[in-house]
Amino acid sequence: MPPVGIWIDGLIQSCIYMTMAFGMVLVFSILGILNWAHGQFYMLGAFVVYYAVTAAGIPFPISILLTGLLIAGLGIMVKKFVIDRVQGVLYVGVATISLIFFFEGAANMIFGMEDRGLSMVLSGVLDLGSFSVSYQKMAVLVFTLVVMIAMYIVLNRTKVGLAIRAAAQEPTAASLYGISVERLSLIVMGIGCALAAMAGSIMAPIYPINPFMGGIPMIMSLLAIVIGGIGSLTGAIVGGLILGFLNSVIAYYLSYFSEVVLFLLVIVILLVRPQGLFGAALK
Amino acid sequence: MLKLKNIWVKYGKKAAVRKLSLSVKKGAFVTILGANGAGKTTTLNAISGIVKVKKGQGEILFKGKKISGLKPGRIAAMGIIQIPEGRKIFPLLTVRENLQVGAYLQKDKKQVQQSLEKALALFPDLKDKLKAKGRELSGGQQQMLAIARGLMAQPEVLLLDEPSLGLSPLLRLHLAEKIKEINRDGVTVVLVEQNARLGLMLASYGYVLENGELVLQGKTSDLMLNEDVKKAYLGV
Repeated sequence: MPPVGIWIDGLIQSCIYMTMAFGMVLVFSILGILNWAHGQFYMLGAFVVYYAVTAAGIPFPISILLTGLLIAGLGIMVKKFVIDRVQGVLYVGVATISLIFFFEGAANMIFGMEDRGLSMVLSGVLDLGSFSVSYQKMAVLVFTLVVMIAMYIVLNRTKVGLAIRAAAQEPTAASLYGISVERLSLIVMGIGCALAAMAGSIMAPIYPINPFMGGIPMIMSLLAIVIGGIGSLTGAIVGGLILGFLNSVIAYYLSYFSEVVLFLLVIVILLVRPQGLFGAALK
Repeated sequence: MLKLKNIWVKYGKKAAVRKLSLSVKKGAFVTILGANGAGKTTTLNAISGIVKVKKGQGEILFKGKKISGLKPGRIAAMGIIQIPEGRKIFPLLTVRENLQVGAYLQKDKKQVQQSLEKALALFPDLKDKLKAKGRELSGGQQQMLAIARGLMAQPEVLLLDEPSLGLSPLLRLHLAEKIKEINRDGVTVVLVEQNARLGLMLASYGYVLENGELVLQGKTSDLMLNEDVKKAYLGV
């Protein structure tokens, strides 16, 4: 049995993959496309919060909210000026893949290559006897809980949430009753990118910040979506949860070899259930 | 009240509807008949704004205002509501949520509650199913839900696309009664049917489409006696 710390690290990773995968699936359910640059919104979120705290001196929690708002705006612009200008799922895919390099390159030019850190934020640990948890990690946990509860309320208790679920299931019928799928696309793109950015900013005190930090969380959340079943929000959450723990626990035993095992496991899961755990059962 | 003037709708080079004109009076019950691919669904979709009628390809007027070119939501807000072919209910929303989507554009909560009560009075089967998911309903109940959802939008004109499809003869008659009741209540109805007998029985005026063109129109009582209609659609 790995020590408690490994499980806690697993849980923290789960939190991030869940939040990112959730946003990706939300966008997918309305736009019908995967945003391959999702991880770069995560990276930008970390940088924005870094400068908000260090340069502008804005308190960390408020910085996270501001980061979410700012990157939501960026996401909406990407939808309007890139995704809408390209025709066809394949070409939109290529366009968002090229955005990966655009955002990484731009971050590299503006912020530079070297690692930055925000480790002074929320320093200290909570001592729980036989083990301890840093406040930074607890913040990730609290953040994820708040995000998930908020998303649950938005989707199930508000008019816009009803519209999102209806449009995801039957877009034509939804538009017959006055739901504008076009406007919803902008809203979910904003929410999805804001979630990724806020995930990046809540992780900023824990992991080094650099222009290429978005790659791994992106691949992991993509795997989470595939395991959970593309299009299923529940699947994204469960897939993210599984993947975070797997990643952390396997790495404890196998170090760098862990990714090989992880991908093999995913392949096995897909051989047994090609539609993913919650697959086909749409959204 | 609703007027189509020389409408053309093309998918690529092929015209699905050619130079179609028809008019529907307030409170009327009109049916559009024709075989598969005759352009019936396309006609309804053109009215609803789901397929665009391009400039110079005719126009659609509602209460004297041009609606061709408007977005589906705008047209729905004006009171033209379509019950699409294949029901297209939301499978993972509850029955209550399905109905709420129907009332999406209605601001007045009191009126929404009234429409809900009215719709449930018309389709009492749905009353015990409010918490069930759409996909858990039987085919007949799904069709009832689709119509009830349409009524939640407080339609002035109801466009029904093949509501009898896939229903047993008994359910079909039951449904026909309900549609008649909706019309008696003052809602203008445009019914598209492949089942010509049902369409002619319910409506008072009919249009017959063939390959996207209007080939015949008249009172349904006259159409029923027309030799061509008898041969082609009633199998007599």
